[in-house]
Amino acid sequence: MKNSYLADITRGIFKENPTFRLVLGMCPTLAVTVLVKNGLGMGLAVVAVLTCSNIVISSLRRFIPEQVRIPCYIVIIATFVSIVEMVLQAFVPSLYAALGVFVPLIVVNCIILGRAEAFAGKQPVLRSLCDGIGSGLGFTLGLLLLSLVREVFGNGTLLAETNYAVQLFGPNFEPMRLLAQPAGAFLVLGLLLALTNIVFKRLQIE
Amino acid sequence: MNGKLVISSSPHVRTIQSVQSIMIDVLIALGPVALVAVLLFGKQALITMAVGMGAAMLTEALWLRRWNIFGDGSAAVTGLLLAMTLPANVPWWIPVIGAAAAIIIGKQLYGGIGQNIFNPALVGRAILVFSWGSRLSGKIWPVPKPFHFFADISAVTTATPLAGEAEAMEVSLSQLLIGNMAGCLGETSAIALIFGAFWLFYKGHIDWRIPGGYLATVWIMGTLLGGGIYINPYMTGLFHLLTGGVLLGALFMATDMVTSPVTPSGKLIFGVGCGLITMLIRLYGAYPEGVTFAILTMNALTPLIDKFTIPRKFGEVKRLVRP
Amino acid sequence: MSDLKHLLKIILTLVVVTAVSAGLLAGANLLTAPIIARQQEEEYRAALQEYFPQAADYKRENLEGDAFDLVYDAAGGLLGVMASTAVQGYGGPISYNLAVDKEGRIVGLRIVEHSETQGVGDVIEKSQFQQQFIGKGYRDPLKPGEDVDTVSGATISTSSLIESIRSLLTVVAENFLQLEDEEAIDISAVPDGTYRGTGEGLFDKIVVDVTVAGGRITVIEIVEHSETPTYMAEAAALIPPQIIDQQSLDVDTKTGATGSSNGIVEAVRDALIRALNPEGGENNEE
Repeated sequence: MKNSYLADITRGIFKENPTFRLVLGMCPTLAVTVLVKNGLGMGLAVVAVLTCSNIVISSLRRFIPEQVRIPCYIVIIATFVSIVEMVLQAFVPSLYAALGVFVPLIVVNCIILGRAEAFAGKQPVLRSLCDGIGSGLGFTLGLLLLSLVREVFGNGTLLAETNYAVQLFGPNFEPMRLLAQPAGAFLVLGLLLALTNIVFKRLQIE
Repeated sequence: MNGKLVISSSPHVRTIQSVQSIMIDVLIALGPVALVAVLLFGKQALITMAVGMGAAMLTEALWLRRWNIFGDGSAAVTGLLLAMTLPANVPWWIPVIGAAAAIIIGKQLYGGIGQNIFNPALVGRAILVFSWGSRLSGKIWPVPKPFHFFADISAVTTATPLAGEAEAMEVSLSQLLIGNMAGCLGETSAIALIFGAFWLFYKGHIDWRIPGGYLATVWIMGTLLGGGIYINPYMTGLFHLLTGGVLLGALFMATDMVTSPVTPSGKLIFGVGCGLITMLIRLYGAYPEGVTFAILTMNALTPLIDKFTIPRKFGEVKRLVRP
Repeated sequence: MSDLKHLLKIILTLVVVTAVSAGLLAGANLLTAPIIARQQEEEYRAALQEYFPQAADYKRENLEGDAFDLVYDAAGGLLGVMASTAVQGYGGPISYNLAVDKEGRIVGLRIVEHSETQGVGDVIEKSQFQQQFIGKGYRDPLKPGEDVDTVSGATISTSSLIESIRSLLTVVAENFLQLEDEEAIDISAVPDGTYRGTGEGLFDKIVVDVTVAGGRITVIEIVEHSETPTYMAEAAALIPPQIIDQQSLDVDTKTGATGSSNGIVEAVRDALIRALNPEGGENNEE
């Protein structure tokens, strides 16, 4: 039984990684990953919302009538998103400013509604919790990788705008500005998708 | 990779042409341009072109894990064409990154030669422009010092005549023809470009329709809308033809067999489209030059153009739409 | 019967879910609102300190619904004013702070909150847009296309902000800095000739021709205007004679047609300024 919980977590991170395998939630993925800080912040915000909404939706799954499940899911998700937004604004205002409109947009992030519909609406609470954590971490992993590549090569820094900011290269380094631009986001995402496809093929994972 | 490269609409006739022989012809055709570039810009031009070619060939050989560095020669052409779109005084790593990006992102990721959608050299250039724009645009074009091979040409730089600034505009027609003006390596000398292109025409590697449509559109739009005699006496149709990368693009890049349409009317549409976009960017866009983005945009439309211009088979009638 | 039951269940579910969610949100808001307010206050203080490094104390005054902080240094001397206001933008109110030094020059502009379109109207947040205001004084025209630029595609967002900054700057200069609202012009230095100038009337431009002879204004002729004819007639009858009489622009414009009267004075001033600086006047030709 324990194995099943672990499988629920790892499935979201690797086999059904939202970014690289399901290709869901591309809008924030492409938009906020200029800096690691933003990518990580967005990822963790999604983990929080996804975990909470999965728990609630799963525990209410017997009470919510079939016909109105989508409106209920949306209300539940929107509530958690608004709470996360207020918490971010209160305690991490700089991150709130950087993520901007993309925090409210978590409401319509396909992953969250997708997991609610495909998993939490049918499975017991604990498994939904694990699934929420797993999928959220998978999404965070995707954002982290993308923002890591974009920040290091497009900006020449690591963890910029935090207390641990590191200037990676010498003063003569000229960062590859393309990667910090929207076009660069598509390019890096495409390359990372190709890379994960190769890896999964080599490892013989369906 | 040395297979037959046959791209044309039917009827198909087998020839003994190989990819390699075509690529060698292209290299020969680029010879005069390269020679003029070295005469004008000296050793730095030679270094930039050599680095571009070398990096492109090395990248391709490594990617394909192939010992034959030259291979089918397409990487050498890509590297040389890329170098020709750069100013002579760029640091060495610009052509290296550009060539590597051109080969990997522009070509190999699509499946190698014959599979790519976009002209690899222009993909490389676009990536460079977006990443290190300050080194590739603005008042950075070195003014040539003809016949001073060891001269340092990066001391005096200016804007391209296309930027429309007075100091850069004072170029006579003969200077434009010979190429004695500021610009990237391969775009300055109109005579060398046309001379080289004749070899490709003679060998039958390029069709008149793409460069014809391209250059005619640029000339017409330049004459009609270029400001002409009203605003600026220099900005005529001929000026637009001879400055910037129009000739290089029209003769050597838009005519790339892989990324341009195969049907005759499609080629004409492709050329006109390139000219149209180039002039729209030049006249109304934020960039002084638009050849790169014009050709890349039309590259993306190539499958569509081919689809709509496939010649009707003999005896075929237009399909009736049922009510 | 079961249909009705089912319907009731649906309604009940939705009501409960939304009610609980509303309760949760209210609770979260209750907890975070004071923190957010304190955060914003701190940010405001930090900005104030940045614009006025010597600031030691400030005193808040309210005028027409806007807050103005008079900033003093340690010795109690006035350093400038930090004003907070909001203006209607494209997507909603844009609230911002404007820091003005005691000479009436803008030293800082800070957008606090806005709802302009992402990627279009949010250029007002960009320093490239904001920097063009820094150093501008209350005498500068602050007119789009003249000394500040709107951003094409975001005309409403940017021009409403520019408009608001101009009027706020005037309010600050006149009410808190006691600056003379106009620079004195030395009429005797103006060479003889007829000069054209434009001013902003109530509705549109007012164009006047001012003739100067022997260091005195002799004729003021209104060339073009779009004011209401009756009001303009009143203004035209009152203002030019006063200016010619007093040889000064410091005339009483509080007539029945204040907007038009101010426009005429502004146009005459513009003409004289152009006469004194023929260079600067050229690119203002339309």
